[in-house]
Amino acid sequence: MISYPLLLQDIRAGWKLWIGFTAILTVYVVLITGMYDPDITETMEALLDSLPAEMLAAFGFTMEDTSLTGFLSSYLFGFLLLVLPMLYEVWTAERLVVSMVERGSMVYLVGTPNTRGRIIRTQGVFLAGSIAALFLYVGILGIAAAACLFPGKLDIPRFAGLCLGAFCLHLFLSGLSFLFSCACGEGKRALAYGGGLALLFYLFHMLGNMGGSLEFFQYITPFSLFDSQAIIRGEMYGYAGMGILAAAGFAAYAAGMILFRKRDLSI
Amino acid sequence: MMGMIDVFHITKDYGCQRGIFDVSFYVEEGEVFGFLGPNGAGKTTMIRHLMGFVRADMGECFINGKNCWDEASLIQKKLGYLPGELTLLEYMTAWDFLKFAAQMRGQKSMRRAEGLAERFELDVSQKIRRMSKGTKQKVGLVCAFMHNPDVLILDEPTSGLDPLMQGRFVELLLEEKDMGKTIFLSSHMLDEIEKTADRIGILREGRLAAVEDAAKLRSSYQKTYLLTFEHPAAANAFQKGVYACTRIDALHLSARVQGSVSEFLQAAGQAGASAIDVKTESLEELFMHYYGGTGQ
Repeated sequence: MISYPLLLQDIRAGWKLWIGFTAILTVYVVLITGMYDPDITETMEALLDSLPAEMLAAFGFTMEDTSLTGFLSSYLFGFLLLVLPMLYEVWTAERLVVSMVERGSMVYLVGTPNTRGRIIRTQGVFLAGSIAALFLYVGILGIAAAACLFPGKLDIPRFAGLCLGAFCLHLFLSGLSFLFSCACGEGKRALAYGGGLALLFYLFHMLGNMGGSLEFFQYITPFSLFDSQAIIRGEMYGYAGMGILAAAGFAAYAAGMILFRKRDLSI
Repeated sequence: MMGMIDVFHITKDYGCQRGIFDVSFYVEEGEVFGFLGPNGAGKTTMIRHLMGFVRADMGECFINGKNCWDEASLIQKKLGYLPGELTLLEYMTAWDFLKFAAQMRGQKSMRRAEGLAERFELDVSQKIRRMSKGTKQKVGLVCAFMHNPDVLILDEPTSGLDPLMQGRFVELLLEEKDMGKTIFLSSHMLDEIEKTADRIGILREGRLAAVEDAAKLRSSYQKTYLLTFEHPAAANAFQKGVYACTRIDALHLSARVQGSVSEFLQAAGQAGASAIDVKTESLEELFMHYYGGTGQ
């Protein structure tokens, strides 16, 4: 199904970038978890009240739930865990496919007894797998940080649900980047389409969060399908959104693979 | 099916007269086929079809009876390829790259790769990023030959190699030919392929202008020699001889020689020429002579 030598090579070429993103996330997750203080939520609320509500909402910093899990869902899954992995995905998707086609080193992948399908499946598995690893790590780190700093305060199943939900969202976003990376002839174009679309969706998400007349933006961005509040409350809606994101993500990866198998490679 | 490589009416139109049009030829098993054409004639486009990288608008091509587009991965098992524009994985050492390429083929032994690296005096511990163009070319050559393929497709194989290494490459090619390998060589210079090719196909503006016996092409291939004489009298005497010469100045003549050069060289030596320079015909000039003036 996939080429293991190529997967190994992808890991060798990509681990530094992965570690870099993981390091930033580590600092952020530990810092945010440490910022939680169950006793001064009132002070926090006073502080938040002093800032424009629309601005806070745009970045997802809204707190309906003052538990640790609720706190993390807003501050961790409201901004950085949405945006930072997006950069990793756009970048990695470009590097795995279109940049190798553009530069010509794809010759040494498809010019071997491996079918194109096998090559591109391997690249897809690496991209999706490295994102899964990223969120698995974030999940374990978050649970460990909470266990050290606030033992017994974190609702672990709900927190795991948040990590899974964020992963589904990123499976979809990376699928888009992967699709453009497979379809485009130039890296710049793939970056512009894949990254541009993800950024646009995020912008819609921010606008939609502000509410009021901008609320309709919520309905045209996949970010709404990752509803952290619904997941915390254990509502079906939250899980359904995850399922849709995962299915759409798989579809995007599959479409990219089909296009790659059929396209002309000027290498 | 006629041979190891069969190309039937391949057309790929990129617009603006670019591409290849109705190209058909075959290469027999054990034959060395030279594919000659100026830059931009479509040589690499033809090779991309053979490799299964692009799909023809019309026509089909086969290697060992297998369709180059549909069964590319099967063909690749027995094929060695050297791209014209070499892009290796820059961040690796040559050895890591060769090992990676071998693993991608499921090839276990690296004995032949080691032998080839030695033959081309390639230091495999070097990072590819730090290599000169010629050294990268050596890595590409080792990679194309190391799995002992039955069919070799080499796009401008000696570009960047110094004359010594070009010689070693020709040696290697002749050995492979003796072993019965089928070799497809592309070049924009006749010199590069005339030593090894059995037949030569000439591609011009995307169309196959001719497929000729290399020997026949060679005999019609004229070289111009620039002769320098010590005394004008000697130059005068030589000009009156059997060879058609053009006077450049008192001491210099330019002579066009067809076929055997040894007699010519002897005659020039006897006439007292002190220096001889060779001016090789360009491909375009070859066309002019081969097809008589119009170049068509």
